[in-house]
Amino acid sequence: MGADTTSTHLIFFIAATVVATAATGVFATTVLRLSDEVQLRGVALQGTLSTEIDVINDPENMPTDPLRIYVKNTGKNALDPALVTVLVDGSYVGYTATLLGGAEEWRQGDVAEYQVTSAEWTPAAGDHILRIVTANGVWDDLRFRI
Amino acid sequence: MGLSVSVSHSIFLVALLVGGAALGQAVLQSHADVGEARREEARMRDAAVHTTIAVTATQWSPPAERLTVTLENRGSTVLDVRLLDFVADGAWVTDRLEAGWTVDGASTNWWGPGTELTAALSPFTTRPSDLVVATEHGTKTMWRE
Repeated sequence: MGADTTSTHLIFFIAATVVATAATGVFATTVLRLSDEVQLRGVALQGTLSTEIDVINDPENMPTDPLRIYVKNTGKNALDPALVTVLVDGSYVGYTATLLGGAEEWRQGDVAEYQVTSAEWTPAAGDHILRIVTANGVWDDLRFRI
Repeated sequence: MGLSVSVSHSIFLVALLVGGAALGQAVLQSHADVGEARREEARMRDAAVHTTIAVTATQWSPPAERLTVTLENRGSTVLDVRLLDFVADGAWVTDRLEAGWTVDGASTNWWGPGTELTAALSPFTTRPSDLVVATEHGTKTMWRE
């Protein structure tokens, strides 16, 4: 009788320990993943807050064929000019991006040129608006007239 | 039974402490990083708001195909001349900026409040009829003939 009871208690003990450890493992994995995501979100938000761009074209004198857009990096982060989205009159257009002034990276103060050919956008007389959006959602508009 | 429950509770307690510590540290670090980023953003906004420049004079030298521009820093921010950009007649021409610019007659890269920058751009085939000058903070001024 005594041995039976001891064995039963031992089995219960082992089972309880195994279940608790398994539950703890799941909990630890979830918490670690959550911690990583919180840190990633903080880093992403940090990047967004430090990013700023400005379109420096003369709105009264836009080169239109091809459309040349000069975008200055006025933030603190280096950016990738190839990850920018260009919208003209609300529509996405393809472009060729070039860093000006011999810059190898689009750092603060550097200017990137975005060329949009007539195959992507047809210049028409009148009012237009273009928007440049970086990879992390920071954008600048320019209203211009042809 | 009592020992099983105690051991289980101990394991859960340790897990909660370790997990809570890890998550808490991540949240605190993230909060600190975002706070610093917000302060940096505020500094950027402050610099942009307090930056104003204006073209006060231009001079065209046909033989040298040179446009000499005089600008005044009317804001309260010290600007870096090397980070200025020039767009003339719609084209980016910063690479035509000649070395040897002066601020109130002195050779310096720092363009302080209330001082005048004199800079020359060349070559141009014809005299530009309009010019945009942009600072490192995105503030712009325009000149039209």
